[in-house]
Amino acid sequence: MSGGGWLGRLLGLGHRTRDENERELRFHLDERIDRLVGEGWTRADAERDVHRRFGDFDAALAECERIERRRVRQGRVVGMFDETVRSARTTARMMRRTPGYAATVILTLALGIGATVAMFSVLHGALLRPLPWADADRLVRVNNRFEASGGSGPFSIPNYLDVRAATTSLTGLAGYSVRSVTLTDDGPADRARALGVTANFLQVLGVEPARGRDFDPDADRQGSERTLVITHGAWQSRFAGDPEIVGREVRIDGVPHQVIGLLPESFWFVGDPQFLVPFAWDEGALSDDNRGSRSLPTIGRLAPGFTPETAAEELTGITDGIGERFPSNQEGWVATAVPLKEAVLGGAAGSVWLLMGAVGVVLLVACVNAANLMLVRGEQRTRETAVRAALGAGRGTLTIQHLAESVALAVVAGALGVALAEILTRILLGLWGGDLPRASTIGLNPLVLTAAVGLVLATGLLVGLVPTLRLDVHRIHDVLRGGGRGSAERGSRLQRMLVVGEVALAVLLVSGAALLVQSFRNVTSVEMGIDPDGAMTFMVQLPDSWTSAPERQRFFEEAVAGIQRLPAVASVGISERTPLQGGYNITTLPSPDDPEIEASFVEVRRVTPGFFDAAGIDLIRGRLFEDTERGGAGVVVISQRLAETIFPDGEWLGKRILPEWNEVGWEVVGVVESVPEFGPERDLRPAVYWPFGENDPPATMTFVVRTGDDDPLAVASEVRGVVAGLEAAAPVFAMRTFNDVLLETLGDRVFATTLFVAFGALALLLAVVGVFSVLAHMVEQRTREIGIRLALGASAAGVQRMVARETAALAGIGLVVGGCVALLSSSVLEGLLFGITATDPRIIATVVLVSALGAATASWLPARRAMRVDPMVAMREE
Amino acid sequence: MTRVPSGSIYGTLNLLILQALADGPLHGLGVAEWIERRSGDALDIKEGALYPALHRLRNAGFVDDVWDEAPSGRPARIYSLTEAGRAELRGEIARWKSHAGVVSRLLGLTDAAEALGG
Repeated sequence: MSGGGWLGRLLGLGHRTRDENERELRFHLDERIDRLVGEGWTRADAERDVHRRFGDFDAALAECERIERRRVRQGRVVGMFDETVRSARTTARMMRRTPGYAATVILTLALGIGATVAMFSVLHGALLRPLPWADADRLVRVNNRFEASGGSGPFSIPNYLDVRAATTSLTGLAGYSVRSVTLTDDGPADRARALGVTANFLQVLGVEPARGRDFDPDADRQGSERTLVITHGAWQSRFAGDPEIVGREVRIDGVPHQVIGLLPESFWFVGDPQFLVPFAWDEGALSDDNRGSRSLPTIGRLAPGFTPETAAEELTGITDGIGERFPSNQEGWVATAVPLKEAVLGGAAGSVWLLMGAVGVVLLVACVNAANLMLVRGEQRTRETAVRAALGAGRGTLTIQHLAESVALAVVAGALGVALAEILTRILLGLWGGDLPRASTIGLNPLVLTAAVGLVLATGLLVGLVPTLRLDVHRIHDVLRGGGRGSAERGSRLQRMLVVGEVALAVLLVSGAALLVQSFRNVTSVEMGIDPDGAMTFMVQLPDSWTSAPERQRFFEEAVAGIQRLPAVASVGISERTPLQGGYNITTLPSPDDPEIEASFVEVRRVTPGFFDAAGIDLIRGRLFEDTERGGAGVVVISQRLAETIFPDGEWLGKRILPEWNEVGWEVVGVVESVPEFGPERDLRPAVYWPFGENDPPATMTFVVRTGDDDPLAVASEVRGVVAGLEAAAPVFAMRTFNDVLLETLGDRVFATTLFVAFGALALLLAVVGVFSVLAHMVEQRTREIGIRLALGASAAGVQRMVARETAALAGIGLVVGGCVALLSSSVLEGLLFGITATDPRIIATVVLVSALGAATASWLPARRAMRVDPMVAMREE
Repeated sequence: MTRVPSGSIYGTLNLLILQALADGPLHGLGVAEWIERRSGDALDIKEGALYPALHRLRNAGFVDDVWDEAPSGRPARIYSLTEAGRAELRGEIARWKSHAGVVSRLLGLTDAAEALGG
């Protein structure tokens, strides 16, 4: 086999065939001579006779060579193909012969591939796909930061217009605001997601309508023609792809709007809007009085030569200028600019990448498991492999054979996996609690499928390569002579290493899952100031025809009274928003005691007296509102966090809070528990509660209803009946339990925790199968040894100890290795850990316990089997 | 017992090999022994000639080969009949019978089997 080169050997050319042919002919001679010698011939006589019968050895060999070469010439390319087809046939035969083995490998890989492809389609759909805006890299989200508190807020409308007029670092600055609207067309009223925009919004994004035109420059002022642009999705779903859509009239919140443009299918923006509707700013919105109302999120396009940092500096210069004209307006604020991509995708990125990593570990475990099964099977074929190798089949050829088999298995598993991924992707998207960007357009697409094919091939190669590690052509003779024991030892050593690795990976995921579950429990047991059990919430929006504020107030009062009369309802109240959904209306309140102290980002809520009981917000000191107290009573209830901030001495009773914009102020009559308005992971917020009707009530209010039942939504239809009885045209929407509101604030934590637990469980299951297969294999191989031991009087317990020792070694080393890796890598989970560290003894105890249970499960059957070995049968076998 | 020179049966060697393999897979030596046994040494075939014939049959797709271990422990190349080989054998036997029948009649022989040497 000298000098053939690995490529030549791989392709079945060159010296290999000559070697084989010579061996074949030589076999004939040797075999015959041996037999004659066995019959008593002298070796010389035997050789002479055999050679005479055979004829010209060299001529025969040369003739065979010639035939061989012709075949190679004919089939050089076809031969590769033939080899592949033959491997595929072998694999198909193997799958029929050993369905259990093939099914296990395929199922294992299909689970790993399916989960990975599903996760990747989410990753790709949400994060990796380019954003559908022209030169998306030059777009920035422009905002303002209040340096003292780190809080942030957008521009007010007048400030936005001033900045837009003055800036040179941006070629365009556009405002937007996500809003929910009532859509009336021919059919019944329907809720829709709209994006209020400035007239230049699409221009700044660099998006042109696929049909129709962009907005007029003055489209965002009151008095201009009411127009809107519709997205491709809404055009399809709500207007059935009406070819005459441009020019059609649609009523948004009762106001007729003309559709002037249709957006391209690729369009997407924050909030996944269905319509873009220009603002209708009136004089009040544009006036200097409105400078304090920070309500307009903005995006800008960087001018050439500017970075987000230098643009932010320039913008801060402009806002400082505004501050000089309007003292107190800008004091302490700086402008910020971050790449829009980061601002839009950043929130979800951490979790998605983390879960992608986790699912990658699951796939790795699946690969290790499949490789392991192939190893065990390879053992059974050791002799076949050795014989082929002895005959000159190079390592390359044998490797190709192994790989062909594993790739064939992976392809079948991949097909199953992709089908599985289609289902899993939908489940994943359903589970996602937070704002997953572009969720509506995520799915299996050509790129994801291409990636899946690559993944399948890589998986097949990885799985197939591991068993070839122990192909050692130099040891073939040992195998042939010694019945393959040496190789088997090496094999099971490699197998043990694989299983230890597998256990370690599973431990890594299980400890991650344990940390996230404990964090989740910590988060949900945080003192939230509210009682999420047994309560529900919904919103009601009055049609625009209700223009009179007193009538709106009466409507809501009557609705509350009507719901309160329902037998199942314990308490009911209204507010602008539910607790845990803060940031809707905030203000700054100075301390009446100390002019140096003020509380910023104070949540403002106007509530009916029943609100506190319905939400489960307890009174700490003083009193709540009387039933008769309404706006104008001159009283407020404040949260404990606000009381601590503006009344540092703790003396609050009877004091007044006096905001800049009101000279009389309000008397503080009670202090209630604080609520973490942005979810339990965030700070408790200062809040001030006015009696309902303190200002004109808006058209949309949020109801909170407590029934005390396990299923507070049971009263849903009765509640709807009460509202419909008062105003049939007022939609009741966003109805859900308080617990669902809580889960929404937990966003992707729910998602990450659920998936981590699922991935951890899957990895654990695979690891248990892995440990099981090694133990079962060990017991099988050592049946004779066990038999001898039992025959010599070893007890069944002793045999059990042997299995237990092996189990403990595998699981123990895996546990230690996995545990160390988990501790070292726990920082990737940092953002999701809450009130716990990776070294928490409870977590370590949990992981050890779970691992021990897994190991016990894996060793149960093999141990029983070992105990039942019949010494007589075992010893006769050899 | 007349010895037939092997040259004249060269064309029939393929037929003999296929027939030998019809009962089951054999290595080259096995094929040689089969012919030897059936012909009672009447055919003086140089055994070396079997191998090029076997390899040609393999190229034609009539036989398949695998490597396995002989009872002595030596690795041996084992040949087996493919489906195509089986069909070829049936066809060849039919052709041989009609050919042998015609020749026998022409020679005025009644025992065609004798011409076959067994």
